[in-house]
Amino acid sequence: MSEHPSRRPDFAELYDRHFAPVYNYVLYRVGDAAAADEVVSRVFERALDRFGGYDARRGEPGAWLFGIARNAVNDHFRARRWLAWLPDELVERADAPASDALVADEERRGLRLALRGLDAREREILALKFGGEMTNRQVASHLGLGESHVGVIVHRALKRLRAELEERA
Amino acid sequence: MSGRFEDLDPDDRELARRLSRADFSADSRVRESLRARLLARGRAPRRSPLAPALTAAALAALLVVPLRTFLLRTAARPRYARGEHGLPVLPGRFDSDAAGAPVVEETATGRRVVWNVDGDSYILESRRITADELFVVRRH
Repeated sequence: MSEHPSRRPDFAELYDRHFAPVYNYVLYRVGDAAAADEVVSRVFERALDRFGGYDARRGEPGAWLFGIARNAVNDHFRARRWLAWLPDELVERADAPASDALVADEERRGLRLALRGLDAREREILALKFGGEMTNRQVASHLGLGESHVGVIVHRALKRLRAELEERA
Repeated sequence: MSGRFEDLDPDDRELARRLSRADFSADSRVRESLRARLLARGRAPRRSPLAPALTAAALAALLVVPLRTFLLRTAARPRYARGEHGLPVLPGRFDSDAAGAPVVEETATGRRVVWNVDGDSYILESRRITADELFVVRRH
């Protein structure tokens, strides 16, 4: 996620460079493609609204975008809190897009489902590290944690994720 | 348990590789349409965030001139009270001792009030007139 610190990209460039990492980050956290599309749309809409005030000298555009993405995901969870009283099966059905079963890449689908077995903190850290393509140091700086703490959580989360995948296999 | 890639056991390392390779954005159904929509919006002339404030200021400026004129006229207009016979009580002041009490007289055509001040008579008269009398100058 390292970029030239002071050159301000145009919005199309920002979108093309960061769509995939932002989308991956969001999907790690929200767990399904339809919700990820919704949240990512909100992220880039907000980014466009605020793009005029973005100052490249104050931080990389990626870090700026991930700040917006993180707030958008939190807003998404807040807005969906009312679903908590519904039975799990209904929520699962509401989460999954109708054509989910048709998604060709079973690898991605399997990972996505297994990620639901992690807790919020583990998902957030894997989301930043693997979805957002950040180093442990960048994740730590983004979340205000120690780098070694992030390393420990990554390690533990990978073990749990592997267990989830094996269980589902 | 540092979390560094080289410290992971082989299975976790393989899983980390899988995660790094996995690009979920291939599942997005909005990537292209969102891009087109946002870039079109970015090209459209944008409303200044100050626009509402400027509009309000312009409206206020438009209202100030007639409002000021109205207030000045209202402030300058003397306030009349109604007297005993429904006649307006004029805000005249006769602070000289020479001013006698006004005399109200009923006339054949109306009513008049006469003040005698320092030997001069000041008359306020109301009477019915015809349209022809409107511009006739009468001298007493």
